[in-house]
Amino acid sequence: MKIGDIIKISFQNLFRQKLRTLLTIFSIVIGATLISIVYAVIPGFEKFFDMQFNTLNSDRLIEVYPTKDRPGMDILSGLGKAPEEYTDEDQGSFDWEFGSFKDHDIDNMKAIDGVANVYESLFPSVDYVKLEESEQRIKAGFVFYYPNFVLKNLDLVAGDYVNDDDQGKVVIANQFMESFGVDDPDELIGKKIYLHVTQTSLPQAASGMMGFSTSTPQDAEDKYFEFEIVGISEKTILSSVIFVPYQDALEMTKFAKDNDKIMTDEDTDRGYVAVELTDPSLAGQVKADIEELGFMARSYEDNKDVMDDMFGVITIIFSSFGILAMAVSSLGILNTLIMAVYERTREIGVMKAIGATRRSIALLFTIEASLIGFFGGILGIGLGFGISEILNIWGHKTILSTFETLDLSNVSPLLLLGLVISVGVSTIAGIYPALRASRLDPVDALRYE
Amino acid sequence: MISIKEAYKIYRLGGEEIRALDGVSFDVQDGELIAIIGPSGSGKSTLLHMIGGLDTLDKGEINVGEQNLGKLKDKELARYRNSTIGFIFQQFNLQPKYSALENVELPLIFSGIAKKERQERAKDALRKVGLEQRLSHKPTELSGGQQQRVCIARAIVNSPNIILADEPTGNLDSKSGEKIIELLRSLKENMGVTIIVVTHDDRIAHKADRILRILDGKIVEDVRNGKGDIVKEHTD
Ligand SMILES: Nc1ncnc2c1ncn2[C@@H]1O[C@H](COP(=O)(O)OP(=O)(O)OP(=O)(O)O)[C@@H](O)[C@H]1O
Ligand SMILES: [Mg+2]
Repeated sequence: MKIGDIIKISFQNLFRQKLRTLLTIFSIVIGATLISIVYAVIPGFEKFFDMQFNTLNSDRLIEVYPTKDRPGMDILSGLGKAPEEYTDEDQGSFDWEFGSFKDHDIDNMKAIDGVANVYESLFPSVDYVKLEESEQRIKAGFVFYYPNFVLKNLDLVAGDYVNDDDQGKVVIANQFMESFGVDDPDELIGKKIYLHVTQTSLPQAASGMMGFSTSTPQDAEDKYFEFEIVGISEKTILSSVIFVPYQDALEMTKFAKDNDKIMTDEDTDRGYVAVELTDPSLAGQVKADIEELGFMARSYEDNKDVMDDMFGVITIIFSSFGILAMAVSSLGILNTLIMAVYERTREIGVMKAIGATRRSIALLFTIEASLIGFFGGILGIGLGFGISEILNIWGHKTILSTFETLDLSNVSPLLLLGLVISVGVSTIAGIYPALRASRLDPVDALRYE
Repeated sequence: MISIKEAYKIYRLGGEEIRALDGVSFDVQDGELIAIIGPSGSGKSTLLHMIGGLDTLDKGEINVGEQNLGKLKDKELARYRNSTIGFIFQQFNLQPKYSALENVELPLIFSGIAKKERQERAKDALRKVGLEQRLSHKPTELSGGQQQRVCIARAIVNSPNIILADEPTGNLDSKSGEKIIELLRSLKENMGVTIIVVTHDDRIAHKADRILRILDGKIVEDVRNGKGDIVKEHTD
């Protein structure tokens, strides 16, 4: 029997009980829709976060923290457990020892084979910014010095990057255009921007890991630092970020903390170092060497793995719902086909009498099941994609309006997975009825009323 | 040639033993038209199913041409049923959703013949049974006699050597039945097929070359054409 004929006859058989078939197909549509939504939406998030992740990252970057273990981790690991006995080595109930790099640590890291350079980051706390000829004060959430080799992975919509040894130049986040009421990014290039820094009267105290000021006393001194805007970045989720050169960041931090010892061995807040590799392939070796020095090091791959794992888990969880729904509807397919075998018992007898092999009969029923899965899958993909398209359009008009690059309706070959799973599950459900049909005794089947 | 040797088929229902075939032996020559008669439950259909390769003997053997049916595998049996045998049923057993043409095409579909050739051959078979005007009619749009002729067309479409008919006129009025008998007779004469007909119908029996009478799974009479009177006595 030709496969084309088998498919054709299975197709005809499918619609002999139209309502029953439609209901069975509909039940599998639900699962296929769920899976399709997952595969339309999640890669969008993944792509989006991947992009965000790569904007301030580089495969030549290794991030280094001064302690072996992440500070404060014992809060999480101690949750729900009986409190432990206090020992003399402990400093408080939780270990908040962040540690701080010293100059010789930096030199040691520079000496490692495969390290091109070592940079320390700075995060001066800035209250607000003002554009030249404007009195409007705009909040600036994050003011960073970040090494140029990492910064270069952020795309600019206008202008140029700041270099590590520049002075008085900044790259600002795209969203500032909106705050400043400017449409053309080129209009901002060359303009002056003033970063307002308030001094805390408690030097080196009460400041968190990133150096954000937590208190602003009444008698605080304050100062505007003047910069020229040299670049406007693409849109990222860090919508209020300003990138400043090292020297400026250092001065602002010294001023903010009223402390000349910043970035010396007396500074206890040197908590982050960016190591530049000469080549990405050396990441593993360099990381091991840094850990040897007693620091925690995270390579690009480490961070990427964490993110990939996270999306892997999310994808699996959500598609399991779809697969579960399909497993349930496969019982419907099983039921439908067992009924069909009963209804067609005599017909199966006749088919055998006129020369159908067991294999042909088994195939007729299996393919009928596959077709249910196929139509369910196709409808599911359509419906799933439709729903995610609606989510996308509606989402971007409302809560997701700032994330232009987040696409919730991704067309990718992954969408076909919904169809493949649907056909697979249905086909498996068809195997038992098909075997039953193929094994019918022709004489009994012919006598069957 | 069909050769049946010491064929047994025994059913056990509870403590009771039913000998559907109880040591049946006979040969059939190519091109013979044989009528099998006997009371209800005597084993006629069982015998036909055995020859048609639909059922297997408990003991004994059936040889058709070179083939020992007991030795054939499922696939070979299917092939045998498809191309050596043509079945005709009392209840026609046509597919209600298919047209006459599609019903006749069905055996050719199972033997994997391409559509164009299939349709030609099916049309040809329907022409032989005089239904070339009814190709696209569904079974419900045909009379009983016409439905049975579609069934005959389906049986002959693969040019079988043997046609097995189980009470082909049982569901027909006498006039339509008459036509079916004529048709079978002419098939035998024109195509040289061997025909075995199970029947309660005297008129069929009288048209046969040979009559086998079966009772409780045994052949109790085997008469050649011309001795019709004897047969008539025994037909109930
Ligand atoms: N599957 C079965 N199980 C038990 N007994 C069976 C089975 N099939 C047939 N028989 C018995 O075998 C005997 C022969 O049956 P068969 O159908 O061959 O009779 P028949 O001569 O064709 O009768 P009829 O003229 O009524 O069609 C009967 O007694 C029947 O009850
Ligand atoms: Mg019978």
